[in-house]
Amino acid sequence: MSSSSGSKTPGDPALRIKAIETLLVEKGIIDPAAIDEVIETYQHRIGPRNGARVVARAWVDPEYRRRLLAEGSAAIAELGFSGAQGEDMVVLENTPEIHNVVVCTLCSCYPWPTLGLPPVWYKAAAYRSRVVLEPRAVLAELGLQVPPTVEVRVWDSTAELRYLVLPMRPPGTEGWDEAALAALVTRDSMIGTGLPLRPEAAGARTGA
Amino acid sequence: MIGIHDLGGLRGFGPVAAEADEPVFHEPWQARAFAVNILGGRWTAPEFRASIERMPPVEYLATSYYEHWLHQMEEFFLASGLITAEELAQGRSAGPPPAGQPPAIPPERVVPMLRKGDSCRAPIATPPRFAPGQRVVVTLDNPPTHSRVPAYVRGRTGTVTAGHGGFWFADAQAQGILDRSDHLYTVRFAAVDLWGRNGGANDAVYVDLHESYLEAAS
Repeated sequence: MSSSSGSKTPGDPALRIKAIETLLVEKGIIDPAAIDEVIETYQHRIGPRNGARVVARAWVDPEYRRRLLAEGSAAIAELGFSGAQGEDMVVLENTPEIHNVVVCTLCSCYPWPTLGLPPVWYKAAAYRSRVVLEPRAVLAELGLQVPPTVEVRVWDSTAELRYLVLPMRPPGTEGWDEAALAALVTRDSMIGTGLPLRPEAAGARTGA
Repeated sequence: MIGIHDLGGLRGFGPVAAEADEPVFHEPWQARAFAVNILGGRWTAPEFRASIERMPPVEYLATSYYEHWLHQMEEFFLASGLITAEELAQGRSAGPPPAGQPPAIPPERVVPMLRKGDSCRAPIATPPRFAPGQRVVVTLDNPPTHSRVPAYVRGRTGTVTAGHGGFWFADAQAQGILDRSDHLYTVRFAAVDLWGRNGGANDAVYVDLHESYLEAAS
C-alpha cells in the first residue's frame, strides 16, 4: 500500500476503498461518523470475550446450558449478544466422545456477536479446503491432538445458521467463578480448533 | 455453481498459518472497506457472495479477503448506477444519486442495527419433505448461478440430523428473487462416504442444505 511505485495503480486497495467511501459520503448514501462507529464496534466491543462469557455461564449454570443447547440465539441474547451474523445460532457441545469444529468452505461465515470478525486463517484457502478432508491433521497443526477414539464432527456453515462450540470445562476449576472461568475460554476453543486454557496456564496469561 | 470459492476437499494449499495475537484489521483500509460495506450494503448476502464468486479464479486466489469485498462493492455500485465509472476513476462525485435512496444510517443507529441483525428465517407453507434420521442424496446440479451446495457433497448420501424450518432460498436471492423460501436441514455425511479410503473412520461432516438440493435416498 505504501509502495511509491505501486500507489497509483487501480489495484491499490487503499485507493479503491477511499474512492468508494468518498463518493458514497458525497452522495449522502453513508454518514462518515457511522463508519467510525462500525469500526469501533468490531475493534473494541464485539469479540471472543463475548463468547467466553456465554461458555462460562454454561459451565456454572446447568439450566442455562440446557437453554443454550436448545435455543442458542435466545440464550446468547440473555447475555446481551445478538444480531448481525448471529441471528440463528446453533451451539455444539463437546463431550469426552465428540469434538466439534466449525468452518465455512464456501466463504467466511462466522458468528460475529459471540466471536467478532474471523481471523485470516479461518477465511483462507488452506483451512477451508482441508479441515473437511483431514480435520485431525489440521487440528494437530494447530496444536490440538484429538484421540482416535473421539469422533470429530466438522460443521460446514453453508447456510444462515451460525455455529459456536461449547468446549468442555477444564479439570481443576471446581469452585471457580464465572469471570475466572471466562478467562480460560479462548477464541479457538469456540471454533473447535483449540481447547480452553488449563488452570495452570491462566496465571501466566493474566500476568502477560 | 462449482467455482474457485468452493474449496472444500482441495489439496495443495499448504499448512494453516495462524497468527498469534492477530489484530481485527491488519491495515486501516480493511476497516474502511468493512464499514463501508456494512453501511452501504443494498444487497442480500447471496447477492454479495455471488459477486465475489464471479471473480476470475486466478484473481480470487491471488487477492486478499477484503479485496474480494472491494470487487463486490465496485461491481454493485457501478451496476446499480449509484456510482459511475468516471466518478470512480476521479474519486469525486459528479452529482447526487438517483432519487429515492434510503437515508444514510446515522452513527447512533449503528449498534442497534447490528444488535438487531436480519434473520433469514422465512415463512413456508409446505411441510418438510424430510425428517431427522432420513437418508438423503444431494443433487448433481451445477447451475451457472450462485448456490450453496459444496461440490464435495454433490451426489453423496447423508443422514438428516435436524430440520430448521423455512429460510430464504439463497439461490433465488442471488438472482434478485427475494420472496422464495425453502426448508433447511443439517445433513451428516460420514467422512468415508465423502473421501473413501482417505476419510477418517471416526469423522463426519455436517452440512446445512436446502430441501431443493436433496432427494430421498432409495
